[in-house]
Amino acid sequence: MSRQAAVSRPRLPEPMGLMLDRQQSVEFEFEGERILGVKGDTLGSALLANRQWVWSRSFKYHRPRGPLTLSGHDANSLVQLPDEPNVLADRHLASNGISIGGQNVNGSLKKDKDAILNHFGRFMPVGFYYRAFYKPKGVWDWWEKQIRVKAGLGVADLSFKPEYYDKAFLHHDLVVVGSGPAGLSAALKAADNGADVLLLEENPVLGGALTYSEFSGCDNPEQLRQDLVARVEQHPNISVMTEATCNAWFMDNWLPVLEGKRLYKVRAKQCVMATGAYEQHVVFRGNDLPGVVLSSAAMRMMKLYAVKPGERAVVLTGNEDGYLTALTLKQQQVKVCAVADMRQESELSAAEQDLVSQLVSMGVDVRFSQTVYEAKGDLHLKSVELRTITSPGEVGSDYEIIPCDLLCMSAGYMPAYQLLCQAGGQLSYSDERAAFSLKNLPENLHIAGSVNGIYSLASVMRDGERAAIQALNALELASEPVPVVECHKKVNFHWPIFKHPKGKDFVDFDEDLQAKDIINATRMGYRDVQLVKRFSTVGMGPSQGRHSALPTARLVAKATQRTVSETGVTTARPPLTPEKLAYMAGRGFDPYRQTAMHHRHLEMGAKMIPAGLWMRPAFYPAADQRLQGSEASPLLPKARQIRNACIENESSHVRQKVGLIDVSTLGGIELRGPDAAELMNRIYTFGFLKQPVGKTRYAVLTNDQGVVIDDGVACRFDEDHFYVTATTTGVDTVYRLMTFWNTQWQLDVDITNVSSAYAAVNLAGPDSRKVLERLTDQDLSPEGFPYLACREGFLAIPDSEQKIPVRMLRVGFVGELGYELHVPARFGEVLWDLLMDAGQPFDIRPFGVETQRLLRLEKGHIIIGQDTDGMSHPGEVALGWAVSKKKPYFNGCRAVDIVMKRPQTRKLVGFVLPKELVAQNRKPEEGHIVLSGAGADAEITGNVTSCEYSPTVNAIIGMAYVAVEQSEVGSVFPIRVDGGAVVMAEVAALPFYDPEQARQEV
Amino acid sequence: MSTQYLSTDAASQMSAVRSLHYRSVSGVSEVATAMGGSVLAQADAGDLARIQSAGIVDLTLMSRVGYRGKGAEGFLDEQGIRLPDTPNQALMQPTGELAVRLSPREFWLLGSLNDRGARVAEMPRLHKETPERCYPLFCEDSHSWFVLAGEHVAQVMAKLCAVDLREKAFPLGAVAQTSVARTNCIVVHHRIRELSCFSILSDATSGEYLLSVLQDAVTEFRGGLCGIEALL
Repeated sequence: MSRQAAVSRPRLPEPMGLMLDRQQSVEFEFEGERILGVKGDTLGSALLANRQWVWSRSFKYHRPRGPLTLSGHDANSLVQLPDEPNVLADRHLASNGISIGGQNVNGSLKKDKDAILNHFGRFMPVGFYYRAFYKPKGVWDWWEKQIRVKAGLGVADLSFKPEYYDKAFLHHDLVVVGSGPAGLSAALKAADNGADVLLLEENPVLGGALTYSEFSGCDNPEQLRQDLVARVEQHPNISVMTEATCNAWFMDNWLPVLEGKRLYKVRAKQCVMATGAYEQHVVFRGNDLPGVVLSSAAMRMMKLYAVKPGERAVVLTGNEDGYLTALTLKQQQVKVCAVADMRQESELSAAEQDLVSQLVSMGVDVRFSQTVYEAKGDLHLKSVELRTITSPGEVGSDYEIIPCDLLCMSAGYMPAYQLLCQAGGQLSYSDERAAFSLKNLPENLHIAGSVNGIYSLASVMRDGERAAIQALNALELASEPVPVVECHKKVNFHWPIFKHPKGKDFVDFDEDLQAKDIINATRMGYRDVQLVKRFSTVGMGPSQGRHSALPTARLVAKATQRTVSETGVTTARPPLTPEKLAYMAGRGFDPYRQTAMHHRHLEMGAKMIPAGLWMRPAFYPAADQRLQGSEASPLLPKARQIRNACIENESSHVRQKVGLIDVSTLGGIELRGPDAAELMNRIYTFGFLKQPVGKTRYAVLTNDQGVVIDDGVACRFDEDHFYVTATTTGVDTVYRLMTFWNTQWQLDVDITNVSSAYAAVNLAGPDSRKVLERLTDQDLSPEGFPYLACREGFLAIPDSEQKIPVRMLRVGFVGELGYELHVPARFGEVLWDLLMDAGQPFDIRPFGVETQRLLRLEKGHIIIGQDTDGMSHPGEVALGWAVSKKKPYFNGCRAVDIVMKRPQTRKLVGFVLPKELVAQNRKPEEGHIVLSGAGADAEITGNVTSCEYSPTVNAIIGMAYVAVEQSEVGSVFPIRVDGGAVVMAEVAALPFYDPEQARQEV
Repeated sequence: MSTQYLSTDAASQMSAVRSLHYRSVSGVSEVATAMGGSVLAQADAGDLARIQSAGIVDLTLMSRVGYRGKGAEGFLDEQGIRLPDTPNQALMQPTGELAVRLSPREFWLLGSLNDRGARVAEMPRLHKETPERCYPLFCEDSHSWFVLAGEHVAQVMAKLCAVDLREKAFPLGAVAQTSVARTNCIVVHHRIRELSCFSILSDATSGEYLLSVLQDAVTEFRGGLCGIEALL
């Protein structure tokens, strides 16, 4: 498409154009046309300067839409950037070289083929989609495709590369949200009294309404703004964030603030919301035409961006602001054809009458009790039809057409209530003021300015100070009486809704909802405003009811014969403005833990698997078997074959030679002090008072329900010194439980979690003694260091004088001669290297967690959490022998007594599958269910907890919970496996391997 | 009496001492510490600039000791260590060590850069057995130790920690036992040569993780890894 240069209007002279740096220009493309702007322009203001008023098409009828608020508060300004949809044109700064376009368009913005839908409104009444598209059966499948093409707004760039977003915390005595005159006054008052203040402003400059509004009684609001801002910026107690949106209010003044690519989590002891009020539109036919804007939008065009909003203007007002806008338009050489005041002349205040006089003296035609009944035009406003108001919402039959290209509306204001209602504030409606006000705010949250119903400038500033005093008193930084600030200025016209028989009198621009849509929703029985919302979708668009809530409340109230207060508005929920998921997702923290030997495993090509926060080696495939990416999925046959082969090889190696496994992830708890044994005795099920020094003892922990929750090995290194291991994922619970109880018992013992302080390995296999002998002069003979003994000593580093302090435990988890070696973590990697070097003559090989699981399964050793569940008591898992009957107490003892005395319903048993299943590769998986019988009416009696092919046994072996009557050795029970097939398993005596313990006790 | 968990005679001669994250810490020079390992002396020529803004110094292999129990305070008093009066406070010793009180009965002593931790390393060597109810702790192995130094330390920590660590709320000598980037950490506010510093002690097995998180957080401030010479 060839680029066409748009026609750029000269900008208005200074002081108009507060935001502009006129020395620098920007150039970009919009819908293929070249747009010339000035630095400081938003996309929207640059478009307006180039006479581009059609920015978007409406959601349902594809009507042309242009600026409404020019403040980023409406959905009309949503445009498409190459890499981002739904960008607010009146908020996004213009920059060189970008190319933007309209969205929700079939063709171009000016020639949208879907604009034909505008003529089919009668076929799309409110909620039509709830009653269409589903009959006859199956038609939805066709409709869905059509709707998906038409639905939605912009287009997401699926090749977009995520950008860096992050989060930060902020803490302040006082957070002031909004930097209008109330916010500035509040911040200064609080800061002057010593409060640490954070001032938030969603726009690039401070000042709020002072940047664009005119005020009666204030000749130079810009000078006032500059004075206030200078004081704020120089104040050491005030931090300022501009272009920062407070997007929600959460309990205790927890405020999420979006700025740039960061989500600030702000904690405020006190909060002043000076969020202002949203100017409201008038409901009449054609009120959405480009060229019909809020008065504040026209003021923003001129004062912020030096854009002349039109040549011939009509102003429709119900308050002072329309007159002030008309005066500014006149000053900027816009012909003001008429000012239509919806009120009767007698309702005007003295100040307003003075403004009328000024306008009349300038030749402006001012009318009272009149309204715009229809705005006419195609892609832009061409004329308005004025009629006399005869009663609320009704007009006479006489009319006058006034040609114009700009219509400014001032119907009143709605407090920016959303954040305050999130905080629990309630809206109540005053018929006398025709306005909502907020009450029942929580402690430590205050409001000031127009959000508080205060509109005259002097009162607004006093109200800011009043809110600051409330905050200061609560912070105990002041003890001032709180002044009463009142403002009787009325800004809302009581009924700015003029329903037209032909419709297109929009209440909600986002969702193309007309006055009749709201009324019809109530007639269909949706009388509650919340139901009206859900049925009609009013307020559910991007502007979240900023402009639709008030007219909807009025319409629903009238249609249901209730007061507006009774009707209320719909619930305001976070977030206040659309929030990119990047703010939530950005820079998450996912801690991980690594053992001292972690990198050795990686260097050896280990297949790593997660274990809590750890990554552990599952097995060590050969170099040509290390699968990457999706290829490594354990669901794929090749990956499973490699896994199974590695486990078989590694397990055979441990059984025949010697293997080494990193067990540093094991928990470790150090108990020191005169009562160390007593604590052990009270915590664990076994007896520990008489445990000999130099010996280990199996330690089982039960909870208050009598369930086995952890196990480990208790080493007694001295009369008053125990070192007890715990499971990788259970140690924190064990440590917490010990410290919890000892806070009450006050035993003389120190409890320290040393899990991270020690690195550990298990050196296992028939040759393990020979390997260890090369590194220590400790007596490792069966007599000098027998099975279940523990020792403290040293490992020598060959060819040096250096020694590593070590704790050695003779344990038999994998069922071979073996030594657990625990060293301070700083020596962990050296320990691994030492043992791998010392083991070389014996063909030492590392083995992984999966291999260890098989080895211990062959020995019938349970893994807590895998072979136990939330119901497993010691009797079920054959740990009755580890429960002392002689001592008066251990953790969970009463529950253990009770559950062990009950008739047992299930039992953990070992099982073997028929040999032919090995060849058929029909191995049950952990979790597969055990049945009471083979029939269709069989009941579930248990489940498989562990199952693996054992090369040592040459069979598929496993452990499973079965019914007690199924638990006899030799009994056969069915297991339902994948696909619903059933395999028959035979109960086998445990252990499967070396029942005489001949191999581990050597 | 309690025995030191480590044979310090052996440890003093060790050259095989490694932190769990040593691969992530490299630079142009290293210097030996009294703990037996070595720490980064200089990362590169940009150390001095980084440390003024937001520098990270890895002191995981710098000596430190901890004692807990009813007898700990008396034992440390006898060694001439000045201790903070209340928990969660730290006190700089005249010789540069940092005494940290983590609870009424738990104290850590962090070695001084001036002597590479020698004085602290001497303590367990001189007292292989501690008095009754004075239990040596395992902080050299259980915790990593990073120093975050420079003008922007509080802003860096604001990205990682929910606690207000600005000077006003977290003055010199304050200690916070809190969560940093979802890991348990002890944060100590102190100064080294007029430079505002946070000593961050966290679970050693998460050392590599925490270091990566800190490095990411300081990037915005043109900070990064520095050697200890930047603090001397």
